Amino acid sequence: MNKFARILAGVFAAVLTLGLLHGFLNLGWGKPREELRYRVGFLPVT
Amino acid sequence: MRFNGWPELKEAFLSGHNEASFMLAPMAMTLRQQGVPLKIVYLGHRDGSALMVRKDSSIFRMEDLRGKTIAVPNRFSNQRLLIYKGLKDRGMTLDDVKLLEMPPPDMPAALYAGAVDAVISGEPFMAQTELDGYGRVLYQAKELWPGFISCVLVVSQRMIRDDPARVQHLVDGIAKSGLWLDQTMDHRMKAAEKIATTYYNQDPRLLRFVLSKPPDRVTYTRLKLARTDFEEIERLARETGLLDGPVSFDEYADVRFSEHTSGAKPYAWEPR
Repeated sequence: MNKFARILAGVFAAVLTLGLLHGFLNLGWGKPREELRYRVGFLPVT
Repeated sequence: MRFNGWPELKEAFLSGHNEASFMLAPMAMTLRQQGVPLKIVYLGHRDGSALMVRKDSSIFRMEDLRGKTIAVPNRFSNQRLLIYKGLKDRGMTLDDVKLLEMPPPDMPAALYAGAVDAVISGEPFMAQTELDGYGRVLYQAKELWPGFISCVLVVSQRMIRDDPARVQHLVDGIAKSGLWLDQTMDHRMKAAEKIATTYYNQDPRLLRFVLSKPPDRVTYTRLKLARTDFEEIERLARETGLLDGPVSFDEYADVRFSEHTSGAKPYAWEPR
């Protein structure tokens, strides 16, 4: 593997790790959704 | 947070994991009597429960349930009190039937398999037996108990003490949503689509059926707390031994938030 391929593989691994960490920590991308301001328990009944 | 059974929902509330919860009315009253710091602040809906039997069943009236097995959502459910009331009004008692506690999502399969003779729960699980072709409505809840209440909104007393404005915001939101839902059938159909896929993970066709056949199968207005409604639930709960003594309405209910919804207007939002 040449130097360029190793750099690409390293960058790919770093992005993948950060992506998984971001998902694991549930950081989200935008503003919190309105309904997340309350933690309300319910059963799926009307 | 969605749960499939009432015991898990209750434990999540007691542990403080959920600051608010839609809960069975007698369950909330019993917990308060046992010293749990909670208050009922609003209703979730009215009616919306049905007593179902198999289509090919020979059960056509309450009296035919003698000796039969009926699945109820929980010992502390208002549906259990509904059965008690229906039997009592016809000179029967709970000893004339066998009650079995069962999570509502399991009820359709139990009825289909013949494991029970009848099931009663909040929708849409009862309508599912109808849509799938093996269930028949024996009674809609309102036929046995007009203005039937199943779920109530419960919040912790800590939330009321620390941030009453948040409680009011939550109650106002439910009031406005209810008014919006009952405004037009189009609103109900759009809500069925959204709720079924986003929150309930159910077939939208099922919720569309529940919210339209008939249109008043479940209603989302008249959700303010009324003392007389709860006094009736309390009386029935005491007669059946759920409550082991009197518990006052003011002890388990806080009407301030509910009263504040007078004059509420439905959300102006129109679905795209």
